[in-house]
Amino acid sequence: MFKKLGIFFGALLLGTSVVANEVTVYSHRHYDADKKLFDEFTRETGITVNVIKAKSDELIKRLELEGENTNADVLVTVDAGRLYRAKSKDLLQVVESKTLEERIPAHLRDPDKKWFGLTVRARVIVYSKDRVKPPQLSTYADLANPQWKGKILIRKSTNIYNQSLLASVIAHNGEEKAIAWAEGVKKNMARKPKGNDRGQVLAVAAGEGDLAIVNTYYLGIMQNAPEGSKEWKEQREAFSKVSVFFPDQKGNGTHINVSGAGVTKHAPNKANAIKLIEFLSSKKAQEVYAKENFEFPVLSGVELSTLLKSWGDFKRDDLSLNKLGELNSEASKVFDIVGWDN
Amino acid sequence: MSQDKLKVSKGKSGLYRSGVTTRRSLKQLLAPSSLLVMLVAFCISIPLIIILFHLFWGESPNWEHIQKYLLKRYIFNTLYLIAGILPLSFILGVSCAWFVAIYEFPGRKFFEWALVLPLATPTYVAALSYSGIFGSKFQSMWGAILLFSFVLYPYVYLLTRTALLRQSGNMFEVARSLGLNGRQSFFRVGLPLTRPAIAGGLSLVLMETLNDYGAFDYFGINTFTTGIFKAWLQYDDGDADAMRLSACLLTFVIIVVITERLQRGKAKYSNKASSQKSIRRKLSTFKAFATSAFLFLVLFITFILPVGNLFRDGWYARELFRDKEFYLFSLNSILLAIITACLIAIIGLFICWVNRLHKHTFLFLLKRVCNVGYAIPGAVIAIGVMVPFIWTDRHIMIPFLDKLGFDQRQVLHGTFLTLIFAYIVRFLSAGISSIDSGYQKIGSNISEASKSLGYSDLKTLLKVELPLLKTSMITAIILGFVDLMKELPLTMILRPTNFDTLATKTFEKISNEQLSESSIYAIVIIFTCMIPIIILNKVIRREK
Repeated sequence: MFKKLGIFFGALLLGTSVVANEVTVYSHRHYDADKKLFDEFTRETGITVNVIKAKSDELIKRLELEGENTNADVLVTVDAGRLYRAKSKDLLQVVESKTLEERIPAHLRDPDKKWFGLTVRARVIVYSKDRVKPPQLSTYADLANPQWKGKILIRKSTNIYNQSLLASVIAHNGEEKAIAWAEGVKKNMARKPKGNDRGQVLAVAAGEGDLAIVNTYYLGIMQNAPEGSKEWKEQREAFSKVSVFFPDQKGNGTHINVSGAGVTKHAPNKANAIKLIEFLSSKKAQEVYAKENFEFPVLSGVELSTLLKSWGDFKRDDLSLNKLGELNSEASKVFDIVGWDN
Repeated sequence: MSQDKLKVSKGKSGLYRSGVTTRRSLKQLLAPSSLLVMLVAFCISIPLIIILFHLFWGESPNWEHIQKYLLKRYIFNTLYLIAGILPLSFILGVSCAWFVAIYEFPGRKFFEWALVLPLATPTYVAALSYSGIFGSKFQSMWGAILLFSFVLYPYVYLLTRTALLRQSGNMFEVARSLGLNGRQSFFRVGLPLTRPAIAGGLSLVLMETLNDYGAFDYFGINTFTTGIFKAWLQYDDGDADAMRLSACLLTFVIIVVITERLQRGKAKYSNKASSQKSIRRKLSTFKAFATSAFLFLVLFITFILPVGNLFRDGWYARELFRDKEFYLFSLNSILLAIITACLIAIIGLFICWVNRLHKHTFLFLLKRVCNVGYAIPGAVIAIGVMVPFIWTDRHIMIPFLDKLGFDQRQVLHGTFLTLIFAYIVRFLSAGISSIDSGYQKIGSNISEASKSLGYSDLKTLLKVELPLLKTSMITAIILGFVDLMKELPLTMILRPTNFDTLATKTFEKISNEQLSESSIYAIVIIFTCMIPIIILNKVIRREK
């Protein structure tokens, strides 16, 4: 009895390292689809997947503090900027994998092989079908024009997606113009920034504003909200009142970002870590991302969901994704300067 | 305290030390029990020292930016919120306490405990639920002020009611007989007598407000705490900036605490609980009905409405109750909270006991230090805790285990030990303050008598004091338990792999906008907190 107790407490103290064949993931992704994929990975390989879910910033901080004592093998974020940050803090290691290089297009992974994009999201304009005609829309820059005064819905400056969008504006036009742009958008806001992307779409449907800046996959989630609760019904109804516009098609292309992964510098289970990332880039996994979470796959030849198909092909901004990370801090400060959240 | 002094100096023999003289003898400081308290206080203060260290020595590369663009906003928002939340909690808390303590009306016994229930709702859950009811318009400064007052007023209510009950009911009878009407006796007698309790309740409300992250983040309101997170996580090398912001916040809190102490200085509690049962005034039928209606309205808005909304949303995810994992999370949360709450009560008891034994200024100071955690945001404590644990692992535990042939990367860090330790740092004040007030109530002559009859200090503690402190111990455990069940930021950062509590699950589902599922987890948190809160209320009442 005491022996058993001893083993129990020992295991408790020593954490999960008692199990041999495992991989530990620090992930910012909190979707049900991910859990499903990890379970499938365990079924196929026998490798146990341990997960800690938190915001990427918190996970990066934890990795930094843990240093060579970390148990984490893989870092998964929802934005390339954060992968860049982990890389620049020397928390990721080079991964040599022919499989990954074949499957993932070069511009969606790190040239230094320290991180790999797994899904693509586009930051688009969602507009009210009743109040806005598509020819009125053109570019991100146009959103700062006075014609949209009191019409724009967008979330807070602490949001990674907004920071990366602004970083791309800085990269293309320089900081001065970026400040002017952010100031213009701030003036045009229909309300103080709050809620998530889905909240912005709901607000357009409710008539609080005419335009919302959101990531594509949220629309898929809203359109396919299951039967049942009132809020899901609201989401489906909101979806039916709006339409999507891909900005900058004649210019730099629509701003995109990736959700991706890297192997941590001190990963105790490097081989398993690579196996997991390879699995997540496989056709089977990419289909789950595309069909259940409505993200664009990085692997070509994967069947898209009907909604993604209906949008057709669009021109993507080919700005280096590492650039978004480099300019992240600057973007964050520009938001402060214009008082984005006030 | 003044009462103790009186009793002791009037005591039958002058053999025993007077209850209030503070001794500064070295011998007392070197007693084993004192040394142990020093050790505990030292461990608890390590995270605080690390935070302060950053304040003075760390470079703060983004500070200029923060000062120029953000600081004013943080200060303005924080003060604005406080200026709204404190008066509103005051009005709700004190009026409810007054009615329940002084008058007799239909449903009084029910309201007595029911009005405490909003405490069971975590602020981030209330934020979600009220937004669901009133729409996104509620997500504003005024919404936040209402929300925090609704959820936190029970602190004021609870302490004020206890203080009112502790006053002899005759006090108000006398006030009446001297010709004061109800309103006059409230303003001229009730309010002045309960001022320390009200201030105590309000300072709890203040701390909770200053510390909150989840609800303000959800509402998009930038306060000091959200600013700390932003600086810490989003700026390059933002640690020092975050620490400096924490230090600003901490300074503010310390000023508030000292002010509260000072104003309490003159108006001390009378420690003697009234021996006579207070007689509640009967109200005219109309007034009695109006009082019940008012209290029901308060309860409805602050508790029934938000929880009802959670039930409505949660209904669609009721399948969750068939999920085995769901019970695992619930069990995790409850076990962890119970274990930690007991530890908090025991450590709190120990610190207060040694303080009473030796009455040394230094020990008193250490007790204060152990209380500070309550004023520091959970995330900041998490960092303060992580640093020394990783250091110990790296320099002591791992080399040691290595010699024994174990290959380990993490020994203390990333385990429940770290998490529980951090919880203790954060919530020890729940233990200390409960036990402290318990000790104040029993006075010192009983213990002196016990010692004069030949019991050792330890035996006095176990055989004489502990039975008398039972209520305080239960209070400490329950207060700790409720706080722990609701705790979020610290758990998020420090939890072991694959470990979830109800709070982290609720938050995960909220960020995922799976409102129905988050509602179920939230409901379980609220109901597990409700039961001990009801017990606590019974315990306090019985004591009267």
